[in-house]
Amino acid sequence: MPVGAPSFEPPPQALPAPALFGTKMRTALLMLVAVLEETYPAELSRYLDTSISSVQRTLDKIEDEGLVATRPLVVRTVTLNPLYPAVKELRALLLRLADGYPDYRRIKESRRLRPRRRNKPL
Amino acid sequence: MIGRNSTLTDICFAVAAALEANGMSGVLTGGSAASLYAPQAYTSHDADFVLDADDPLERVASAVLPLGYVRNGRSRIFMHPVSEFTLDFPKGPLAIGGEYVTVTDVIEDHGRRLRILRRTDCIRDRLAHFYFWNDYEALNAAVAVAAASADGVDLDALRAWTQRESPALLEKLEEFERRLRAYVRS
Repeated sequence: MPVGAPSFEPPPQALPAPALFGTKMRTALLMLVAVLEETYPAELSRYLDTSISSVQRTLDKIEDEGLVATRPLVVRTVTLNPLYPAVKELRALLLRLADGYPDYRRIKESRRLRPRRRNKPL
Repeated sequence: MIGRNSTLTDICFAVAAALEANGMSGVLTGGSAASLYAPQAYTSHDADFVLDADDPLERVASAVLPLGYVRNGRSRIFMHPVSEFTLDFPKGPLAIGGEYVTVTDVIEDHGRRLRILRRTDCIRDRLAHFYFWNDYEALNAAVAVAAASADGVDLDALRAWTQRESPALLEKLEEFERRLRAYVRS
């Protein structure tokens, strides 16, 4: 495994989530965006075990609602919308929900891994 | 009727009237509000209206169709066949950063009325785009609106608001203040 690569392998099944934001898929996607802080559709589709086009469609809907913001950089980067008036409360709610599921906790932990210089003493 | 030579101001008043005639109301916000406050220094190419009641865009489409505006697919943007100015109806409620906006201003012109963000809120709105998206065009618009204000700008209020958003953003407010001082000197 390359240095710094996440050790977490996404589970083969879709991530669990309550249908709080309309559907389980939409809620899971929002929880993931909160946990990952900044992400992109291919990464979301990997964790959610669904197609990128399905992720893009869901993103379009929640972006239209103003909950997430996407920017067309090299890839479409996705964050919670910092200009959404309740973004702090939304982030807190999503992270609180995510804390209840081991899968999200593992994803969060894997994101904490940072590249480590070769031969650096532990 | 809106034509090739219609100004952004003309279009904003026409859209406000069309919305009102159809039982809707909206507030001009974003870069277009900045453009109206500082027309010599900043030009926006779209009119951003946040609707008070989050009316369905199909209803908005019917209201602005007589002006020549047609919705662009399923987006919130409306285009005109000859005017370069587009319309955008960002999702409400009207807010700047984490704070809702409940008080707005009205501009009147020859019996026409247009609801618009207050000048200070317009500056905050542009600053929020600079704070969170590093949008330097929005920063320049904030500077232009602040410099065009005959009464000056309440920097203490801006600092208090920035602090409420995040103390880490105060550095960016200092950038705004530096640019404002340079702009006023020039």
